[in-house]
Amino acid sequence: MPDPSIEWSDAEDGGKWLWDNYTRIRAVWADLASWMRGTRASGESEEEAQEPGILILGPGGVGKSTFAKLMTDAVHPLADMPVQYDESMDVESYTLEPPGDGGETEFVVLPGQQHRRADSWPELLRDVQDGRFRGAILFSAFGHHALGDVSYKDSALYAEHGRKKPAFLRAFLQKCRDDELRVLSDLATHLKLCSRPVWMLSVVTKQDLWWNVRSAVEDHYQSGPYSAIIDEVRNHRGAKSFRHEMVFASLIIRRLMTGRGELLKNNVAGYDQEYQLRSLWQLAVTIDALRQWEQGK
Amino acid sequence: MTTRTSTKKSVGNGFVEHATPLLREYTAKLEESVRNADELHDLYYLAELENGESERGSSASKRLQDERRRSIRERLARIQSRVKKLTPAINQLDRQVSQMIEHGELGSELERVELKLRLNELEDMLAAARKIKSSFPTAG
Repeated sequence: MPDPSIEWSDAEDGGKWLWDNYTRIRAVWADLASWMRGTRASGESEEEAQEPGILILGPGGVGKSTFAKLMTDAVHPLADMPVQYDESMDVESYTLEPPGDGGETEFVVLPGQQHRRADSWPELLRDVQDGRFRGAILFSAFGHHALGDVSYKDSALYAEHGRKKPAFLRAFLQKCRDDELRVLSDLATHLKLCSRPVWMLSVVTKQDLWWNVRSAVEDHYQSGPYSAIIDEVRNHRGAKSFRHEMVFASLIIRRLMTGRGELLKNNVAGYDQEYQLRSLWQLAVTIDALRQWEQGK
Repeated sequence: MTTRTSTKKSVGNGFVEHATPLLREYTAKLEESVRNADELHDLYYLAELENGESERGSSASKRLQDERRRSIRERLARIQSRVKKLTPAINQLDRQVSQMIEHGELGSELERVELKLRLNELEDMLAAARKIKSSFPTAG
């Protein structure tokens, strides 16, 4: 899968580059979506052709629904991405429609808020054990979780940290990173017990918000407690029945704002659509690696 | 005791005090819509059965049955329209309450539990209201 060339000098050139390369990346994504859909064997009924689904999970406000919409063509990343965080109230299901006679694949997106997990997560995590899913995509954002329709000034953390915004933000990012580890730990327990070969993709989003400290971010996920939990699963299952990949990306370039329009953190200067598109390309390449593993290559 | 009440009210700008009555009110309104729609479906089904019997009756009787079914359809349309108009603001209320449960500074954990219970009731009823059918069963 060749890397798209990146060479442009002005805005007009940049726009053309984005359009041309987005079209190329879209073609790759369509190919990947086609793989996820699977194909129906001759004589196989529609029910029999149903491929095991893909589970998408992570804390609230990290990009799970955005990703599912991108993969199912519900939105165009350069034209109509949502500008405001829209919290999912319940389990969402997105179906990759079969081309021709292909079987369907379902993306199941779990709601991320902690208070919603007790209602909807246990049953679907048991489904992971039972082999209903061929893979799980776990989203994180180095703690940069979107705050919905609430002011940061109404949060318990703001009160606990002297009602100072910088202290609140530091505590909020740390609390969210701790929650990312809790979610991984929950998933890992069920991946260890999964009855079929299964893959896991870790997607660390909002690259545009932490690009200036990317070494620290990569260390956090690739050398710290996060990778220790992944290693546990790998050691437990063996490389033939578990494959993990990780990708750092930006699904949408946006400042970290509350739903009330309060700025919490600006994007890192210099992170533009060129970097974003590169990250989407990397995401496609990474999913392709999972495809090859699944197909035994 | 007086001091505690005054502290509690200042927490979260009195969010619980404002949100709880709203959650109760709109859960009740949605529940009423769902109940009325169920009753209309039953009424329509009965009217269909009676219509079958009145096929052998006078034309005046048939006209009466037609009028009755038309009235039921209109009443159901009004319920659906009401739910449709309420839904965007209820969604907004839902998300505000959800974010306060998740992140908000509340007076106590019991308040968080209360909000969660009331939010569950609202969401259950909203899901039921969205399923109100526009078509009626026929006596077949």
